[in-house]
Amino acid sequence: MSTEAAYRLPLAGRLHPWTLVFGLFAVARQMLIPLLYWVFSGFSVFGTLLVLTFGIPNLLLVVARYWTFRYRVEQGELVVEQGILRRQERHIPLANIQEIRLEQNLIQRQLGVARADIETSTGGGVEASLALLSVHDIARLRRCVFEHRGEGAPDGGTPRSEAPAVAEVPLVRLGWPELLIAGLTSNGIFTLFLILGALLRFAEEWLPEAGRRALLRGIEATVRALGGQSTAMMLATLFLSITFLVLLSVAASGVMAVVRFYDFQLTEQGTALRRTYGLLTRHISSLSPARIQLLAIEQTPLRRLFGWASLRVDVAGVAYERQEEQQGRGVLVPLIRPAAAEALLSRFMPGCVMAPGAWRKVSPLAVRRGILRRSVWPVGLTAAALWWWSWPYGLWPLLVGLPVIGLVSWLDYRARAYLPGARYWFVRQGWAGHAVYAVPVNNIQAVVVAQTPFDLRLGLATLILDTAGQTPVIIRDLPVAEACALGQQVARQVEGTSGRQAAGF
Amino acid sequence: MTEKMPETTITASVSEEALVSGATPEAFSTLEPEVIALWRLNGGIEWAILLSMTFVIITVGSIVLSLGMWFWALLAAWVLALVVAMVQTIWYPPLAYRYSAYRITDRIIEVRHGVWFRESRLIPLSRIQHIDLRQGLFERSYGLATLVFHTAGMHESSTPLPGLAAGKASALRDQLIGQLHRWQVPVSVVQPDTPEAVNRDATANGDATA
Repeated sequence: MSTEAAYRLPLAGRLHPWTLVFGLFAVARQMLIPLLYWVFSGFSVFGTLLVLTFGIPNLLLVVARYWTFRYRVEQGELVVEQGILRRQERHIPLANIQEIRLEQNLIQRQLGVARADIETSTGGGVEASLALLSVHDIARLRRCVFEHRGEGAPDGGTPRSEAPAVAEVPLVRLGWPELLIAGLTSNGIFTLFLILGALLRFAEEWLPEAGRRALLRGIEATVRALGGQSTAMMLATLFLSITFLVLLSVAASGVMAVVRFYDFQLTEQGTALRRTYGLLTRHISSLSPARIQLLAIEQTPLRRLFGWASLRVDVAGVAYERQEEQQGRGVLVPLIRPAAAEALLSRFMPGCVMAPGAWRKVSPLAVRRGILRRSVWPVGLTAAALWWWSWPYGLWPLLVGLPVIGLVSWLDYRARAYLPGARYWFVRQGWAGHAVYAVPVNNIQAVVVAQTPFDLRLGLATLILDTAGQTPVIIRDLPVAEACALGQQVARQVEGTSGRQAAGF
Repeated sequence: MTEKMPETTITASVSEEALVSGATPEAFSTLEPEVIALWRLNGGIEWAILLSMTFVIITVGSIVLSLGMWFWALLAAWVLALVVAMVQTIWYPPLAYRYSAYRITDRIIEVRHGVWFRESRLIPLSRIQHIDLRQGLFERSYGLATLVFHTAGMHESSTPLPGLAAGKASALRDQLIGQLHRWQVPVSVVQPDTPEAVNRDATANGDATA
């Protein structure tokens, strides 16, 4: 009951004192090179001066930031004040707050503090970042914000007196074996680049100059040694090292998936979906289903082979800065059976059921177009081969390429279909990997029917459904009359639904 | 007049639309014919700037690098580009004009444009975030304006509608903004028709809805 009273009070507060300590660490990390110099120069006067001139202002900034940072909830707004010389007061209407995301690393978890990122629908990503608050304060803030949301009036305390105990219904829970599979079947090459990027950053930031030079010299020596070998030897070495790298990256992506999504839980709390995951940095975020612009059941070729898929979501108004972050955030379920994913769709978006028989194909002319489009490469190769070899032998790229291209184009045509529903549209595509998109008609913003000169000749058109999410929904190779009719139809459907409310704009 | 078969294209001009579906009561509205002159002027200026810059580069470059005979080859290419530019400036705008049209029916704004790459953009009125009225320098002298419809979409978020008479554009904008939030009321902005009949007609055509 005391918590109840506290919660009804106008919420106000400042950052947790631990912020100072973490700020100190951050400053120390920035100051690593001067500090190292200071230590190794035997605490010389110059070193001391260096540390002081660079360190003191930074430390002062940290303290000042802590000192001046305040937040409060009043009159339906979250007010965040900060700044020393230039005072900044940001007012965020509670109704616009889409999500309060919580992130904490290992140490922060022990201390019970976390960073709270506040996201709104305006499209700028994180609107305000409260780092750090105690977990308890974040929970209070969250309740305060989302309480206003429900009734619109802040005084409706009684109907939700049991609000803290809103039942969490578990939907999906993944153990480490599944996460390992998820990592192993994700596209490994991509992870390789991530690792290389991380290594590069590590080398740039942490490695001392001598170490960097030694590394470069090592690479140079290896390349020289390779150049001295015979062609077969060189090819074998290259092949082996590439295989090794791929295997390494697959293994690494497995480990990374386990670390990133460790103890993954997807629960339903009231209407919101709540994800909790992470081994080192724990993420807790809740997602209002109204914010979902698009749900995608996606399969990489490997996952398709083993009958697995992942469930991804496009959310309105979030521009992610880092690719990595976007990957983690968009994933609703890292690994799930396609059938289970389809069953979950209606859970996330009411009434979203795929009628399996109702899929409609695109025009069969798509096969022809696919063959033509993909033939550019083998034709070019053939020209080169004819120039290189004599007449009949130069034809091999075309002879090998054409059947493959035909098969791929046919598979591609077979994979593509769409299902226009009253409240949800479904689009599927992809011959190697596969994706099924579910788009709520509510959230479609514009419809485009487009024709290229090739389309004009064949009487085809492309239908584009634009949402506020990142994934473009494009249906290619529709007969033009059908595309126009569908465009008109979906536009009418959109106008007929109360989109503004549902999309949260 | 058109050489393309009507069912293989997104028909844009008014006559074609009537040909395809005579049952649709809302005809497309064409842009103001003055827009042809405007596009010619704009295109001409762009080409003139581009070509004069290339000419300077060619001349100075030839002198500095002492290209000799190559200068004449470059100059010939430049003259060719000049001819292409002139033909394009004179011949393309009327064509673009013929394939540009718009209509507002059933609270849906439809804008069509494009000669080679054709597009028909449909924007439900309730999805519009804001409407810009743009008037460039030359547009002002021709008494024209461009309306730009903005939605919250990610990839196709703005749709320009050029070549409207300035007065008509601002009236249209005010009318549309007035109707933005009253969306149960049927709209008839350009042609005062009976939207109910249109709706029924449309649902009969589009039977895809489950």
